[in-house]
Amino acid sequence: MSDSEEQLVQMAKGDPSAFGQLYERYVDKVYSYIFHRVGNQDDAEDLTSRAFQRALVNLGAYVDRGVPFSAWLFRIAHNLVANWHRDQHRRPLVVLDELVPSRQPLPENAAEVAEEEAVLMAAIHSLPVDRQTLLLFKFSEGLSNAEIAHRLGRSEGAVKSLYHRTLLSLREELERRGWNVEARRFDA
Amino acid sequence: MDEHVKAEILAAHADRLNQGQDATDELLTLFPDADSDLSELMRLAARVHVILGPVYPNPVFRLQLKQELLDAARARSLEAPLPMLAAWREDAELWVESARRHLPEWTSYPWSERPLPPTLVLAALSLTGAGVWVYLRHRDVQRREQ
Repeated sequence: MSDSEEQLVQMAKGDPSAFGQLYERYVDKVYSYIFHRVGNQDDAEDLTSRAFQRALVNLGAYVDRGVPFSAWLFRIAHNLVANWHRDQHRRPLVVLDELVPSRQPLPENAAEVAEEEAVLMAAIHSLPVDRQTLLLFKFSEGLSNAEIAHRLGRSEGAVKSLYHRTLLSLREELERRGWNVEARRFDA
Repeated sequence: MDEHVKAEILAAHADRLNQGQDATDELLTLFPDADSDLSELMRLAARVHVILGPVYPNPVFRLQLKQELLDAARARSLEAPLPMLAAWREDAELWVESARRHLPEWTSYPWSERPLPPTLVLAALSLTGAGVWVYLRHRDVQRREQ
């Protein structure tokens, strides 16, 4: 944790405006992480709200013992998502329109692109939680391998190796679902 | 190709994706002995990178949540709870949240929604202590009389 962040966390324990700064720093990342894990806006907003409320309540007890504030915050979000999945007793629904709001495929291949994205997203959701988390940290948050290693409590080499294995599992899962990875299309 | 080398190349490829560059062809040129397996994985990673891109919250929700948190933080700083009570409160809040989820008929009462003010807690603890002291004194007196 950088000095400035450490100071900010200490200030936030008694100063509401400092907590506001922490919120501004992390709300987009936490929301994005949760959204990709639950697949819909309503639950993502609900869980994001609960994650920050829980962080506020427990901030006084947080002590930096080598675990950065961001990792602590994401641990809260991770636990809430895990509880959410347990309560749902089902696979998360993937709402395509919300998952890819910024990209607008051409009308003639929109259905095909949407179908590919649905299959890819479903395959990602079928991965073990630690592998989903790795992909989200890497691509949704854009963290470096060293940062991911710190958050997951692993070595940088272990993260790279896990990323390799994750891609292999994902490809296998996609092929099982009839997707030709090399041709980037369905064979089914 | 060695698995360790593959992992390194894929990690470098992912870093470049995060910088906005798809370095698949460049890396395949640098490592001519790379098999088709590696090129497939890099193309797959590029697809995952696109689909898992950042998603931003609705600005209205973002603003409302910040306001709610700031209000809650101000209320908490005014209450200034005793440190030793923080852990008990956290346990109680987790229990209540769990009960809400699992008991559809759960009813909330206003007094259960917010913690007691520390002055009231101190008063309650003092009264309890005084009560215990009176009881012990009374018991000792009775024993001596017997």
